[in-house]
Amino acid sequence: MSMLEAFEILIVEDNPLDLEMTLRGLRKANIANRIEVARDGAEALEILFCEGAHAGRRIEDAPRLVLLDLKLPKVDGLEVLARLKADPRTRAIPVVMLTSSKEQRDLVESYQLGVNSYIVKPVDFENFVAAARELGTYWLLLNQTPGA
Amino acid sequence: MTQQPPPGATRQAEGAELLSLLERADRHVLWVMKLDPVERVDYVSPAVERVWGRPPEAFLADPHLWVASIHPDDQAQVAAAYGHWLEDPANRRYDVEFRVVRPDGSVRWVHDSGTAVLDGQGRPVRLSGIAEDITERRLGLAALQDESDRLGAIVATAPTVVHSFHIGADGRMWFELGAARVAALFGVAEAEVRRDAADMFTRRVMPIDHDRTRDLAMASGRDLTPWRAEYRIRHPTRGTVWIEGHSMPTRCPDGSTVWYGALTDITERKQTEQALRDSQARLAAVFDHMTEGLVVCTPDGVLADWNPTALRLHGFETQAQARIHLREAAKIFEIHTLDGEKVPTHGWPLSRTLAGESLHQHEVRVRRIDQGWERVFSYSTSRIPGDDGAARLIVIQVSDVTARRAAEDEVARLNAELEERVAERTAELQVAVRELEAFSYSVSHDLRAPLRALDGFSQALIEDHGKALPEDGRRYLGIIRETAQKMGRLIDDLLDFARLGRQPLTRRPVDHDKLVRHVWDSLAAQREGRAITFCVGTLPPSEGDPALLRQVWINLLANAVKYSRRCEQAVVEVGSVVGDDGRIEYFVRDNGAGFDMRYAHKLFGVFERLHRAEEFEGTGVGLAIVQRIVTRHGGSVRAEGEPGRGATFRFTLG
Repeated sequence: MSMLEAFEILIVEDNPLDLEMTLRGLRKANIANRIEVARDGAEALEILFCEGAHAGRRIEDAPRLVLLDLKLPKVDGLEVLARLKADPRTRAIPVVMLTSSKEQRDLVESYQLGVNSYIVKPVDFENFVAAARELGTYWLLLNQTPGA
Repeated sequence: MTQQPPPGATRQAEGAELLSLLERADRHVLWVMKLDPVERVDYVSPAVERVWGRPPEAFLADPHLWVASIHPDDQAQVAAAYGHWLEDPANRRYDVEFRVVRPDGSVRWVHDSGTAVLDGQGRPVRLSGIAEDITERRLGLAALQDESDRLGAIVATAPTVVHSFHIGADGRMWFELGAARVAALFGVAEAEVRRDAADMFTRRVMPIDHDRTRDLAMASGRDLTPWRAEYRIRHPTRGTVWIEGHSMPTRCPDGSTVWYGALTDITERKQTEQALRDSQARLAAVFDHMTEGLVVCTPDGVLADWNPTALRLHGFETQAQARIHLREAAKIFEIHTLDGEKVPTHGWPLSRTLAGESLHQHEVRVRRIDQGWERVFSYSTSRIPGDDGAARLIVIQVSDVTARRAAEDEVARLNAELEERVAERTAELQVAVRELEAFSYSVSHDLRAPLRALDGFSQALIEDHGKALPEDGRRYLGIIRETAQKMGRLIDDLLDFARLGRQPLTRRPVDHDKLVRHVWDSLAAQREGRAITFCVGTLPPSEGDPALLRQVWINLLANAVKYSRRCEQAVVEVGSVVGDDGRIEYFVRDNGAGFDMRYAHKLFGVFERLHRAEEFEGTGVGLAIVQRIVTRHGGSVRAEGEPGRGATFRFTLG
């Protein structure tokens, strides 16, 4: 299993500062799982559905968790979520929406599309790290997906 | 048959002649009776057969026949007269009328009178007399009597007062026939009517009619022409009475004039006529002065009667101009529907009504071709049936609704324009709202990201290189983090506030007592380490949006907790009062920092703060949110306070 194929967490995030903080937070929470990063929605879909540059990957090697930003270039987070949940091969992958939005409509739409969890990125970084850690621990350690 | 010897030859000759006359007479019966030695008929002239229906010999043969042939009803009377006469024949006369019954049963009236021949001692020796057949005269009298009786009955009972009125040669006036009823009619004594009617006329006949009526009577008497007059009298009990008189004068030989005629009480008729005239006058006044036009048409289509309004509306100056047939009207008028479609003559209001319809406020455009104007008229028509059910009259009401129609058109146009403008403005607002939403959305996402980085990397710097930094450096980083976090809260509060305006309001029953206690519990973190006396009074339930009202209680109670922080013995009190208008006013009171009433108007503005941040932290949005929620519920909020003595916030919910 190459590094390219074997990752456990996919982070979809376009903001490099947020990305760096998220990675730092996970690292500090001692979540040492292999992490793949997509910088926009289109790339995320290629990775998840093994298309384009990621055509060599096997779809069965699904990540155990997707941290998905809502606002993304090209294809936005809600669409990525919709595609993921619409396909039986990827439907079981836990997706946590990670967003700065507190907008009600985003939240409602996310849950309608089948998101597993939703957290608002707080300005207070300590809280954010705590939230990310709890989420990561829960979804990676406690919640066993059918395919895992 | 023996004869009394005449006193002389001449007398004898005269007697013979007289006798011969009596012998030939047919209605006068001469009779002679002897009393001595027995009472018997001695002679009876031949005329007796014509009157009694029996020959003279029958009486000579039967001494009782004379009495027996008298009508049984009259026998007693004749016997009495006869007996009375013979008691003193020298001084009494026999004179009686009675009926005789003939053998065939028929009855004749007889006037019988006689004289007695007396002897030396004054005793009657012989009686003689003449019986005259007066049947014809008696019957004539009876007929006359009957006629008179009938006339009397008529005079007494006829609805009109039949009377005779007399003016003597000396000028005296009086009534004879019907005097009693004339007196009753005038309300005076009968004696006065019979004695001096002129005075009665003066007193009773109304001055307005007196002279005219009198002059007519005088002229009638002078020319012997019929008199006819209507005049009013003032009756003592009935008030004004109208009398109609008709009579015919005749001149009498003594120079007086007598009118036979009738007086009739026509008061009721006059009153009815007057009522009718009054009614007609009122109707005419209405017809003439009503602001609605009225045209009365005959069933054959003639526009017969127009009131002034109808004339004016249709451009006519006189009734004569307007009294035309529908065919003629069609030459000077055109009718169009409101939509401008021409209406053929058979579709005109009158034509349709003649055909059996009744129209109600039927609006059409009427154009007078020869005068060149067009107006919008509203026609209502009705058919007035005669006794046979067919239309006797058609009544058309018309009013000019041009101005109203124009106003309605204008209103419709303005409405359409307004709707268009509303639609435009709504579209504009929708665009603005969408822009605002996009703006909020963008703010909530994009404005917070840099703050997160500021906070996050400051934190990373402290964590990773904190030891390398001097004390001041670490403090500065702390300030950066605090400031970034504060800005984050400001953004959140602002977005919350903006969201309140668009969120739909749900209305459900809200248990404020329960809600307040939950909220108080949820504020445990803020209350940590403090002993606050919390009093909850009566909190009646109300209708409202539970989530939003919860926010109201949170903000007010959090404020109370926050601003009473410096009190040694903090008291927070919640309750309600019922206002004069029956509305429930809820309140939250604390004994904390309070505020200066001079700045009360600033309390509920967004980002308005009455305390410095180092005294009491906060973004200045909480009370603005309270006000917005309360206002959206149709209520109002107010506050009262005093620096250092606490504040009370009161609100109603619609």
